[in-house]
Amino acid sequence: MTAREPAKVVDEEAAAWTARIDRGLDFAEQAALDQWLAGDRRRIGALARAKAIWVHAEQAVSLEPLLAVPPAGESIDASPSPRTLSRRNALIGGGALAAGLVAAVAAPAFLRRPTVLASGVGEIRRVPLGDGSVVTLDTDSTIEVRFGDAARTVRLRSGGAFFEIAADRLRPFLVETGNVILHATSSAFSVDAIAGLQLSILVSRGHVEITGKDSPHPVVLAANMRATMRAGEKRADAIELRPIAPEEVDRALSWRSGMLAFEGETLAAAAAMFRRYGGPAIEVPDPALARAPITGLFAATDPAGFARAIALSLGARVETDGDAIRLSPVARTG
Amino acid sequence: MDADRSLWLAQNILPHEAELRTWLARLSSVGGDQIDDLVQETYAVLATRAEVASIHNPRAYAFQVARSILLQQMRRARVVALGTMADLDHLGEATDHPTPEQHAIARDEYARVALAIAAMPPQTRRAFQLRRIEGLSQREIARALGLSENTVEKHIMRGIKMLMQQFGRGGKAVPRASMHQQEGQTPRHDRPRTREGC
Repeated sequence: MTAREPAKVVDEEAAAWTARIDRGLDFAEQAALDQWLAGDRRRIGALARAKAIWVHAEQAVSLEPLLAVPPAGESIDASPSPRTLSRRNALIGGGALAAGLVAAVAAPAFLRRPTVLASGVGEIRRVPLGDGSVVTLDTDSTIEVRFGDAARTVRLRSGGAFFEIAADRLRPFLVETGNVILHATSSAFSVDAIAGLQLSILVSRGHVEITGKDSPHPVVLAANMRATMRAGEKRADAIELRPIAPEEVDRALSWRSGMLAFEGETLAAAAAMFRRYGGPAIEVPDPALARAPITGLFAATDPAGFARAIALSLGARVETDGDAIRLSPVARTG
Repeated sequence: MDADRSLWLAQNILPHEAELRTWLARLSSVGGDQIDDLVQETYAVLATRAEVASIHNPRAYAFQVARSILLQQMRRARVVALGTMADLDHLGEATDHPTPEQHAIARDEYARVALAIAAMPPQTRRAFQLRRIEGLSQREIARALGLSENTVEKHIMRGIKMLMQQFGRGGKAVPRASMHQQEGQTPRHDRPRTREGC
């Protein structure tokens, strides 16, 4: 019998290939990989297993931060241990580098206890939820995640989030916010529950059922539709539904890449939007200027750049006053 | 193999790998070193299958695949250890039962993986987590940690290797001595599951 490569060696080679594939193969490497795979059937299996484990690891580790970040001023656990606190500091302060400190002891708990996921001001955070679904948190947003055997439930406490739902026949995906519950199967949609604004739901793929706490019948929202309702509204039939052009949907979701897109919003509304991402406040004391419509795509974290661009296009003047940026009409001469 | 298939394997097969290994370890004709080979071959079949959407019970399917590979090998070897065929006959019972605690299994595996990651050497763990939690590319990790891209790739490789060695084995504490269950007493493979030797 010819000596077969031991399974352990095959596994090691498969690990090396998975790491290479992860950084990207060049043409010659791709050929070498094909050749390697053709040499022994077990290599195909070992590589498939290595890649699956690599995917699985993402799902496993991505759930850790869920446990690790209690919302500001609150704790998931009634008696926060020093470990919880240091994790939180690590993730909020030091960022991911310190995430290595996270011990995994509590990992199974994510299925039983709601876990809280939060983004800081100016932070856009994309987190896989472990079931194939992915949530992207807009600036200054907080959600609670509770995945059980019967349902996957997320409560949007504040801010906005974009959900991309992986289908699971047995466990519907529910998003609760305010007094409504959204029921999704395999869809993509954003939910905004921003203090002082209307509750807004925008579907970009699939459809979402909206049920109010006081209404027996759900309202179905299809792709390229937006639903708005007063915060605190309990009836689904009080929801206003509106079809939206696909470009408009993309525009409304541009925050996911750190951009704010405006098309006819007032300067005051745009300034308020920037305020949510931190940085200096934009003040527009002149009421006529505050009502001026704004169009364009701007970096969410650069309010000063936005103010300069607006000043240029609207013929206004920019003054920096301490932490604030003030936009005023240019004084008319004559 | 595309990303979808990797995800499918991660969600539908990996959670049952420990059980599959346990079952293989029980067969008198299968040596400990053969288990890894059989697992690799099983994954090879699952990875190269044209589609997986029609597989209603992935766990049962994986067991069937492993079983047919074993049978093939035995035919080739032409010497069949006594008792092996009887073992294989019990497979039906092992795979017909639904697995009500699917989520519990997945949960255990997540915990295991998380623990395995926590046990990695610091630099490896760091690279691994930056890649998997933060989604930085290997190049970005190299910049962030002040390492060469080559070194980052080595860390990622080592991390994957560690998980591969650990995964599904539950500390290797499969009690072979107790495996020779007596006739008439059907081995119930749904029972022990992944809890052995944690």
